[in-house]
Amino acid sequence: MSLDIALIAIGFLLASTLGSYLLAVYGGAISKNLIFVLALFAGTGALLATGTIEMAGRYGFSVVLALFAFTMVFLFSPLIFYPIRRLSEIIRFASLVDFLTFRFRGKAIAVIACSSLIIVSIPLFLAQFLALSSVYDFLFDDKQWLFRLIIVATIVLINWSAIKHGMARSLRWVMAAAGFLLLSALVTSALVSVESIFGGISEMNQWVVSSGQRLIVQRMDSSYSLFVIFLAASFALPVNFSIVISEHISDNQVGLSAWAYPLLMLVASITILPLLWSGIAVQSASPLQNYLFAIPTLIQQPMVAGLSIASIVLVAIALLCNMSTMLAKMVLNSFVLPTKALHQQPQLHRWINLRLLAISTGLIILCAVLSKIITAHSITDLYLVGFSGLAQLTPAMLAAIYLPKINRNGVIAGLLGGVSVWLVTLALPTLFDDWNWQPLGIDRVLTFGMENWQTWAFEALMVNILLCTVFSILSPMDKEQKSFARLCMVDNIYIPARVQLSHSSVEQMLVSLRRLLGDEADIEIDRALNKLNFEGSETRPAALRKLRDSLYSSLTLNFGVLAAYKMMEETLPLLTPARSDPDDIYLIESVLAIEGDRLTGIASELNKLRMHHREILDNLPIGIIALGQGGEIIKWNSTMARYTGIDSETVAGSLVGDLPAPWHAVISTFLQEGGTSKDNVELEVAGKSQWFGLQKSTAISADDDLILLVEDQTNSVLLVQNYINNERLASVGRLAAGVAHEIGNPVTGIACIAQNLQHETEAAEIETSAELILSQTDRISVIVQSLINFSRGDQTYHDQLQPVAVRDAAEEAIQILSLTKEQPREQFVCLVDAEIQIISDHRQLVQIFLNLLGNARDATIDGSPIEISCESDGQKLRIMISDQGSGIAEPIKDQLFEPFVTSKEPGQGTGLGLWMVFNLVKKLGGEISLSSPAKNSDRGTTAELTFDLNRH
Amino acid sequence: MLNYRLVAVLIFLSSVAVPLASRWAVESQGSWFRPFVVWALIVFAAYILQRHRKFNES
Repeated sequence: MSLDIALIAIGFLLASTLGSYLLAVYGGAISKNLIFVLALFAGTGALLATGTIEMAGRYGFSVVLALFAFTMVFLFSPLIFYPIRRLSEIIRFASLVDFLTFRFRGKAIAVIACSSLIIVSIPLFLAQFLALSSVYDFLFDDKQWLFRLIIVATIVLINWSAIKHGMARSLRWVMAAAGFLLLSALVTSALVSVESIFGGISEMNQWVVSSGQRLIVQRMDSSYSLFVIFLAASFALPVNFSIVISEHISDNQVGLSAWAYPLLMLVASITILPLLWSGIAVQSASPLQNYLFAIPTLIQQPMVAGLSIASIVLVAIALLCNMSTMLAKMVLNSFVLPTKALHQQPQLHRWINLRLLAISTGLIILCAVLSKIITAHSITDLYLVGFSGLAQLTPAMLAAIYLPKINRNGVIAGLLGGVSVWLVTLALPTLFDDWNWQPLGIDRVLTFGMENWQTWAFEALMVNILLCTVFSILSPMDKEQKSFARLCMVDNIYIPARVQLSHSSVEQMLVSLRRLLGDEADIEIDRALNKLNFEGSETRPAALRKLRDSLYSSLTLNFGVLAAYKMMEETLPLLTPARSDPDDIYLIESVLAIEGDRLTGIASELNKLRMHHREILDNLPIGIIALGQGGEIIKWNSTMARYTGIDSETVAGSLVGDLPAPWHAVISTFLQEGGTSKDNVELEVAGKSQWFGLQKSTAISADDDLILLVEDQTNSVLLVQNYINNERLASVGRLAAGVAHEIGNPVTGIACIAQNLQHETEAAEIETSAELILSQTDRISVIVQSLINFSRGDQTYHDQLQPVAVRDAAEEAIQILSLTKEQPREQFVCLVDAEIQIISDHRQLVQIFLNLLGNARDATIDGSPIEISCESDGQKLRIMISDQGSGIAEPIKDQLFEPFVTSKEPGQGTGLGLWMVFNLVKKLGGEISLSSPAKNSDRGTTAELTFDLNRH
Repeated sequence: MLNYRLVAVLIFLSSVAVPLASRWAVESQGSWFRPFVVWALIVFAAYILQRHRKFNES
């Protein structure tokens, strides 16, 4: 029978571990959540499988209250674990000792906390060995030592595998398998026992009433002590801390633990009393702590007995593995790494792993030997002693997040006093033999040991709290402790200081870190860069500070708070900040943006006000740059982003020297200059000239910060330029009016003479010449009239508009051009139909053609043809004048219609021709555009005039 | 910031709900599984609170 049960148990062990491993590796999100909760459930070790049945026999319903208290830490995780989880986003804690070291600073706290945790954990280790021994004793009679050897070897193997492959994840699936087996065993064993022994649940209920068991279990005499000790222990239980704080657990999973973990514990708790009553009903001779497997064996249920044994073995092994590796890491982080010159270790990780294995194996062997030596045989006793010891760490843990006045000396004194009292009055007497002591002058004899466990557990806790309080009040706190106390407070928001780094690029940081970590440095840097979404080329001081923080956090998880701090000081030291309160304003902004919704009351209102002011600053129609220490940009408002095309996220935290051209040169020069303002600084932005005004002032607070104001003055500069042009044009107008007056009189004389000549001669040649003279004088008159109109600013042409044949106007312009410069008429090709008319002024249109054709002719040196063509869609008429000449130079393309802009050599053109054409076309209600190269060609220019055909 | 609502719930539970519930759970004439009913109700309340928190965060 024993062998059968052993084989069945081995079968269950293999199946559950394999199943859990497959789920962990291949499972989805639900599987991972299930593994997480089951691993937590197994964190109580052999307590649920063995100890609680004995506790129920001793304390009745009090055990239910105790187990409920044990789950309360997860119900109220927002009060306990969330604040520590929030801190672990800055510094990742591998253990409770790391957290206490971080908060209370110094090696002494690390050594004392670590030693205390190891000492108080020993009873829990022994409880697991006792559970394993009871299983072995039940199955076999001899060769205990062989069984112990196998167990130790198995634990060492699992530990080595876990240490090599990343402890947290590797051990979690073993824990989950144990949790699953434990729950299955409890439920199955209880159901089968009740069914076999009582015949059903209602029959059991009747038996409970008739046998008087109901009254026995309803006593609550030890309930308060059990409740407080279990609650306090659950805070400091290394497994809880490691799973909820230091591993890669999401907030959702912590939320899940708030109800799923108590639910599993509830299901497990319900099975305890039926199992106890089943054993009592069948009058089992086995100790209460063996009921889980003894009763199924008694009622001939080998499968259930095998399942129960497998669950006890696996849950004990899992907890031993978990706690031994965790304590080994604490020892390494607190005792070994801070004192070692780590850069002298060629293979640092292997070196660390070997030491982890050695320490964890040493712990296991020590406890295996101790379990053989001790006289205690009750798993319940060991758990009560262990939990009373763990409770000693809870005051320090709660003080770390809620009581800023508690300091290092207080915690050290409290732990030393509390653990010493616990050791002398409770732990040692329980493990070995109770002892008595009669203090001088007192009649009463004090008995140390389990007999008065509640008294001694509370005495130890009170001594701890009292010493902690008194020493904290009496000893002063240094600046470092105060700063970290403030940082760890539950309502504190972490704002990194704006310290200066000794490195100015990622590459420099990598080289420095490589000296210590070797190739591991590359992995660490890559991981940190990926996490922060930074590039390897990053040089912004704020970004490098974030990178350093991230590296520090990662190193803390791997090497502990003390060693990581030492490593950072050696490889990536900080330069002493010049200011006393160098908070990183940019980081305050980013932190408040993320955590703003955590603020309540007046803080929330102030945050709203801050956001409002920030919005005002951002939306001011003037660029604002705030420069911090060392020229670091801490504010770059959205107007600056619009001016420069550089968004504030990219530039915030970088140096002025890192800004792209032309801003870098302009701002640097302005900062070096003595003046506080500079106007009309011309910059080429996005291919266009823009003008900016710069002003600088000291910030409101009297420190090194500078505020730079950048104002876009482009419009006002252009306005001034236009004004100057207009002034020039007005002068030209006044000149033109004078000239027109002076020219007008002789032209009238010439016209009269030409008319006389026309009337007095009969020679056809002279008559034609006279006609031409008259037509030219007419044109001069029109030009003169135009000049007079221009000088008067007269723009009322609409009354004179009438249908004009486009071809006639073009032909007239060609004819006039043909008279000058010996230009062959054949060069101009007019493709316009004679019927096409537009509502216009004939002379104005001729003038337009004259200017455009004249420009085309000047640009066409090789005599290639100049075409005048028309296109119409019934609504609009487009007149195109295309040449194959030199085209328009790119720089002046957009400015050709402005006055005094010309591509001709000085003295060849005034720069007013196209400007006049532009104004004439506008007056005639049309539009003009130039395209170069010409349409359907790779050279030349096309001038396109567009007129509305339906104009009246 | 400190979760004041949670602290208020804690004070209410410790001063009103727990004493009443525990007295009812261990009444001499009551069923043995009464304490587990109270526990189950608390688990259900925790589940509802967590769901609420999850919804608020998402």
